[in-house]
Parts: sequence; C-alpha cells; structure tokens
Amino acid sequence: MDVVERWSVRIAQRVAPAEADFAAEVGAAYAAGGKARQELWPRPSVQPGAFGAGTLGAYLPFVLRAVADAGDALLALLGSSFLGNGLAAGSLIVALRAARSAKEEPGTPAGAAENGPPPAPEGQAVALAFESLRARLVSAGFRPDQASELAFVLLEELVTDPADATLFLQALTAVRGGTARQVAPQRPRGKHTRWGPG
Amino acid sequence: MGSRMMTTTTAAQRRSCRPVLKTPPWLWVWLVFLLIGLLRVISGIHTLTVAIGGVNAPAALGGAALTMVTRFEIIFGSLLFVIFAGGVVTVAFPQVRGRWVERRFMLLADDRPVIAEMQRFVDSKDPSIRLRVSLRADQVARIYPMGWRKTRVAVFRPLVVLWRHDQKAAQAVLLHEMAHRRQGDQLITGLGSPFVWLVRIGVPAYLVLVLIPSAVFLVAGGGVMASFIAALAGTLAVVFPSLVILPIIGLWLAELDADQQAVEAGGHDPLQRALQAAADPHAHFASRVMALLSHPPRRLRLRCAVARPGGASALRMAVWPAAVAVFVLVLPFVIDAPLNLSGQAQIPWELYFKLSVHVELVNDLPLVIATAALLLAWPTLAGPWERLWSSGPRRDTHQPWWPSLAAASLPVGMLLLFLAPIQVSQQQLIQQAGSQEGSFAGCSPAARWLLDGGLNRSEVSTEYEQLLQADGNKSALGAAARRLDTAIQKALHDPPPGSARSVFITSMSEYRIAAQDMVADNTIAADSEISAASSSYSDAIDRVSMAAGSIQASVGC
Repeated sequence: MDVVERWSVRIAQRVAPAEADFAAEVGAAYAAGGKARQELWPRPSVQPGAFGAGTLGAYLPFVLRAVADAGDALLALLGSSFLGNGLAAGSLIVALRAARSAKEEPGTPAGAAENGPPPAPEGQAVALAFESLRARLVSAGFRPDQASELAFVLLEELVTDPADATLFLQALTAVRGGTARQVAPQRPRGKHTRWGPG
Repeated sequence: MGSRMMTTTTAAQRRSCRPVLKTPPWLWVWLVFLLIGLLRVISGIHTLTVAIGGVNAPAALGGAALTMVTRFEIIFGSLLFVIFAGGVVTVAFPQVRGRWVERRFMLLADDRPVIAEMQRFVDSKDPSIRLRVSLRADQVARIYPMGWRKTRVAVFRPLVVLWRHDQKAAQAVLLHEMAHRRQGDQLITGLGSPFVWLVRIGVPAYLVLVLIPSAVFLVAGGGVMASFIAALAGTLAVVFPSLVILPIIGLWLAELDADQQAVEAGGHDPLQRALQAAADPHAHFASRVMALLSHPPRRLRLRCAVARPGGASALRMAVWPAAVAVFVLVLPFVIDAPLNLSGQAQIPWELYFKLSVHVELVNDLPLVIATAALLLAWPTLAGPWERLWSSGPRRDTHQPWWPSLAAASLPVGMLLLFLAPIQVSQQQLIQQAGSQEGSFAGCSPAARWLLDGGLNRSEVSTEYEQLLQADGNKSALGAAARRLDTAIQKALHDPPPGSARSVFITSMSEYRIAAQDMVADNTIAADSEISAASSSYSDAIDRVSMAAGSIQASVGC
C-alpha cells in the first residue's frame, strides 16, 4: 500500500469510518487525477437507479480535496523544525483548540484571547494551517462547526508523522485540477440515519 | 394476555406468509409491441426520406419550410430507431450489454470483508446473483444481465457507506434490486438499459429536433404554411408523449413492485430509510424531472412502501390498463384537436368521434387483447414467470384473483366497445359532411381544390423521379416516360383554379418536354427544362395556397 493509500485509510478511519473500506482506492483515484478523480464525486447520473446516491459516500473525497487545497499551509507546518518533537506539535494543537473554545464560549470577556501575549511562530504556523484547512472544508460544504472539528482531527493525525504526511501531501497535490459539483455533506433528513465522523 | 400475544404472533405469521401482489410484466408487453412498431417506423422513415429526397420535394410537400421541418422529424425518428434497435440487440444478447456495463462503470469482483458480508446476504436470497463493485458515487446499486438467466448487481461506493451506517437499509436496497430479477426486468431496464435512454434522451431530442424548429418556422413564416406548421407542431407536441406514456408507466410499476417485494422481505422501515438516505436535496429541478421519466417520485414510493399496502397494491393492477385506455381512446382525440381547431379536418366532430373510436380500437386491438388476456391469466402465470428468470429459493407466488379480474374489466370493456355497432364507412361520412348546410359552400375554389386532395393527386413529381432513376436504361426510360405522360394527362384533367391554373399547365408542359429530352438523351436541355418546370410548379402551388386564404377562413369547408 503506498503512502496515499495508507494515509487515506488513516484519515477515513478518523473522520469517516463508514468510508474506510474503500478509502485506499479513493485516495489513489484522487491522486491519479483526471477521470478517476472526477468519478469520485456524487453527481446526477444519466441513468439514475431506483435509489439516488444523495450524499452517501461523498465525505472522504471532499476531505481529501480540502487537504490537497490547503497543501501549502500544511506542508509549511509539517516542514517546520518544531514538529521534530511530536509531543510539542500535538500540544500546540491542543492549545489552539482550547484557545478557540475559550473564544467561542459565552461569558468569555470580549477580547480576552486577543489581549494575551502574541503567539509564537510555531503557534502561528499551526493556526495558519488550521484556518486554511478549515476554510477549504467550509467551502466544500461542511458546516462551520463540522469543519472546525474536522480540521483539528486532521491536523492531529498529520502531525503524528510529519515526514510521511509530507510525502502524502506531495503525492496528493501532484496532479491538480478536476472539478466537482459542490455538494454540502450535511446531515441527511430522517431520524433513523446516523451520519458524521466517529 | 396470553391469548392476545398468540393473536399478535398469528397475525405476524399471516403477514409473513402472505404472497406479494405483483403486477404483470408490462415492460415485456410494451417491448413486444415496440418490435412490431419498429417495422412501421422503418417504413415511415423510408417513405419520408424518399419524399424529401426528390428534386421537386419542396414543391410536392408544400414549401421549403415544411420540408425542413420534415427533415428534422426524420433525424428525430432515426435517432429513436437507433436507440430502439440497440435496445432490442441488448435484450437478444444480454452478455454484450453486461460486458459493456462492466467496462463502462469499472465493475470488478471484490472479496474484502464488507463485500463478502453483502454477498452472503444476497446468497441467502438468491445464490445465483453475484456482486460487482465500482468506486463511483453517482449510484447506489443496480441490477444488470450477463446472460438470459445470469444476473449481477452492481454495488457502488454509496451502498457500502450505507451498509456501515444502516445495514438494514442497505439490505432493503439489495432486496429491491433482486426483486427486479424475478420479473425479468433486468433485460429491459437496469444498468445500461438503452430503453431508459430512449425516454431520457428522446425528450430533449424531441424538443430540439421537432418542437423548436416547428416553432421557429411558425414565427418566421406566415400565411397558410405557418398555420399548417402550427397545427403540425401542436399535433407533434402530443404524439411524442403518447409514445412514451406506456413505457414510463411500465417502468414506474416495475419500481413499485420491487419496492413492495423489498418491504415484504425486510420490512417497510428499512426501505423508507434507504429512500430518505439516498435522496439528494441539491438535485436540480431538471434532474428531478428527468428522473421521473424512469422512476416514480420518492414521495409516492414512500407512501406505497407501507407495512399493509392493502388496496394500494390492488390499485396498481389497474394502472396499466388505465394507461392503455388513455393511449387508445383519449390521446388520439387530443392529438387531432389542433388539426381540427385549425380547420384542417374535413369531418364534423361527432362523426369524427364515431369513426375514430372504431379506427383506434382496430389499430390497437392487439394491445387491448394482450392486456386483458395477461390480466386474466396472471394469477396462473405469475409462478412460472418468476421461475423462468429466478433460480433462487422457491417462494409462494400465489396471486389472488380479484385484483386481476377487477383490472381486466377495463380492457374487456374496451373490447365490448369495439364490438358495438358504431361502424361508419368513410363514404357515408363524406356524403354526410357534404350534405350538411354550409359544409363546402363557404370554401373558396382554391381551398376546395386543396382540401379535396388536389395536391395529392399530382403524381407528376413521383413519376419524374422514376424517369431519372431509369436514365441509362433505354427500355425502362421509355416505360417511365409513358407513365409520366399519363400522370401529366391526369393532372391536366384537374388543374387548380384561378391564377394558378395557367402556371400549373405551363409546368406540366415543361415536364413533358423535359421527359422527351431525357428519352432523346439530351441531358443538358432536360436539366434546363426540369428547373423551369420545378419553378413553375412551385409558383402554382404558392398561388393556390394564397388563394385558399388562411385555414381559419376555410373552417366553413
């Protein structure tokens, strides 16, 4: 299994477990680009069957695309020296998550987070990677809260093995292009249907 | 308490033992009549192609505008024919379609655990069905044939996701697809079916090739031809729907039947969840409309997918015969309404109705008889029909009689109508129309000449075409020249009135001279004469059309 397939499975297991069975193939198809990538997206079929695909099976390709599109910021983070210590990197992400939670919690004095000392360069790199990834996820159609959670989870996963993750990102972004109709992977209607990561 | 529990258990047992009410395989009935209709389509296309291929075609057809519209119709008819023919080939050679489908959708055998789980489930219902997997995300699952009795189900990535989220719902999807196999539907519908293309491509093709050109010529043209084209476009706007109403009804019933079988095997809740999970809230309006050409609306399916369908199932039995009744008795009158309103028809409404009911029943008698016979025999045939296609475990295929008998009353009633004494001969109609006050009194002579078929009686252009084809063969040329002369004589016996008369006579003379030049092997002179003759003939037709005035002015005819 090559690096793209390996990481696609890892990402699917974290954010879209229901899509983990074919995650390796989806990742490989995405990295291949062209028609293989285009066929990953859900779209109206010329010959729809009795059951339309809706947004089933659409989660992972959108996540991979967001990761690829945020590739520059992610590669900058993964290539920085402070990530040599995985524990330090992980704690930076935890700190970022805590800061965001504090900012968003009701009752927190306005400007309390901004009034603290300016963030260190490594903190800035993490925040930049996070914002870049989150923005791509939102533009892919994820809800803002979903996008935030996904971005955190993805960053946590990527920084556990920066070198391998770098190879993954480079392979994923090697072939650009390939458009897809925007489909917001929102929670489907119907009380019986479960959705979302984990 | 104990007796109530026993009653509940007994009721559940009764439900599980109750056979599923299935409608007859109407898609197969439609296919048989489609094959018969193909012969007529071939003949019609050939006739039209010959008619518009000739040098004098525009004049013979009544103008360049109508010729262009007719040419587009030929392209449209040819497109439908190609799709028809492709569909027939795939039914006769399902392996061809199966191999194409697997190549097109990148379907492969797969033995990973999740697919093995699905296969075990399918094996428990019908061990002869194999699964094939595709990475695509535009579908969930579709059945397709690999032979007359060999069937596979294409599993797309979304079904795998659904299997992980809600296995029962995913099983309902597989049960639905397997149910199609028991009716033999996979040979006509399913993944890669050209018959579905027929409907989904035919509608846009019809708009582009027939309706829009007709509308353009209506707007751009004027006078008599514009009115005629308007009437023709109005007619065609209804003709095409009349051709697709039966296959669409057949497709909808097949889907509802498959849903019902999935409900009986797996419960109504999983199927309803599957329908809701697979809905695309962002689908475009156009996509939703196009989907209706092959599948019933989701709301209807959700309503029908209930635990105790009761009368709804029986009602489904009556849908096809009702559609046949509309096709045979209602649509033809709607089709001819634009012509009648424009004054093209010569026959008063009440007489037209009497004749047309009989004519339509004669034309579509085989379809009505087939519908009645299949409904009456269905309770007996249902079991053998299922065993013909499915090698799965034997199920109770007993069908109750009363829904079939009730539904059969409609086509049987139509057959009794056919036997009723309503026959009116064409001659009686014309005489009766002619005797009515003001029937032709209000017509101009030119309109009367046109409505009396004056244009159709001119066989000169057809005979001249025959003469051209005989060029190079002296004996055939001579015979063709003699026939042309006879046609010219006949045309001169009934020339159009008014200012068109002299021009018409001149064109006949020019045709005659052209024929003489052809026989004398004087080709250059013949070409020159035929150009002059065509021009004069067109001029004559235009003059008589102008003299006839608008068609509305001839309504009194």
